[in-house]
Amino acid sequence: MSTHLSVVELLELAGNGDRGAWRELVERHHRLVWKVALSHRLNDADAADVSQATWLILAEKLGTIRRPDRLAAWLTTTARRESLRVLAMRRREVQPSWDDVEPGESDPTVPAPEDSAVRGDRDRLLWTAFATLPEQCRKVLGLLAYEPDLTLVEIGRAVGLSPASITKTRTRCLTTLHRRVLSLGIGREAAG
Amino acid sequence: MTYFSDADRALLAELGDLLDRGDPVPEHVTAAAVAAGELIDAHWDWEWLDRLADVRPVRASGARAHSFTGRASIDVEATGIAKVRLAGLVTSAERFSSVEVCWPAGSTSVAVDSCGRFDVADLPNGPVRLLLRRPGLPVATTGWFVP
Repeated sequence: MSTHLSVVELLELAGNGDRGAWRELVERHHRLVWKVALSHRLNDADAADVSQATWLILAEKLGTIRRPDRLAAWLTTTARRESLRVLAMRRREVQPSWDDVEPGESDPTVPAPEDSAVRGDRDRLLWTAFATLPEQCRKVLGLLAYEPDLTLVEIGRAVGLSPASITKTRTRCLTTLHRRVLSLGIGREAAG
Repeated sequence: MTYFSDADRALLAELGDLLDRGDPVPEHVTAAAVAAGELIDAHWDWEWLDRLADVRPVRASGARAHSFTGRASIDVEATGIAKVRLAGLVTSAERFSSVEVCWPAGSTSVAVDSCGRFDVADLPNGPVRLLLRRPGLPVATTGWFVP
């Protein structure tokens, strides 16, 4: 199928009516769009609206995307803009949370993974380490996990941080995740 | 480009896989994204009405305001969540007798009165667009927006 093609090639094929190419574009990016919407604390119904609006806009602007090689960034920006519009309409405010959550504390905004998703100790450990990170870290790493090649400016825009802050945040979050995975692993080995 | 060490990239890939399994995108959300592909290049000859920045605050009544401008201007206020009502005003040198409200799975046409007002209720939630048609002229349309 189209799985070996680049995003640029897929966009061109999709623009010429290749539905398989469009499905492949969705397959590669729908997690990112969903994650951007959720990172704005939208509920599932609003996040679904944002996702649908983002893909509808892409379908109709397909021929006018100036940097097809930066589709992930375009989707991130569009989903962010639509998320902010919906947020404004819902009269909610985005409250950036810089307060670190101590390891071990559970955060009610982090969904518990479905049991079937956690395949072993390593998954449990990584999930626990991730779930106990500050919310801003989870947003940043959640986006990077799907699109590691987003630029710092693009990630900053998506989560509402300045380029200066995002540089520090990204480094701090990744370092903290590495450290928590390590310390949790060592703790379990010691306990075991 | 962002810079990551191999260890960073490996950890992020592992995290992406885990998030994917633990917090998956709902199937209907993915299906809607796939279905959006049906609109590719379908309306290349339409005239677009630009969306004005959301400068107006949400009114105390709970209505959500949206404004578009171009060959015609449309100001619309939306109320309701599960079932949406749109009440608006079309301002244009040309007379439009109706506005077509489209959502991904359907559409409805609503009359515009002599003052340019229109009002339509019981719309499904989710993105919509508004279309203005007049014989002999290109269709003028808003982009998709969540009302």
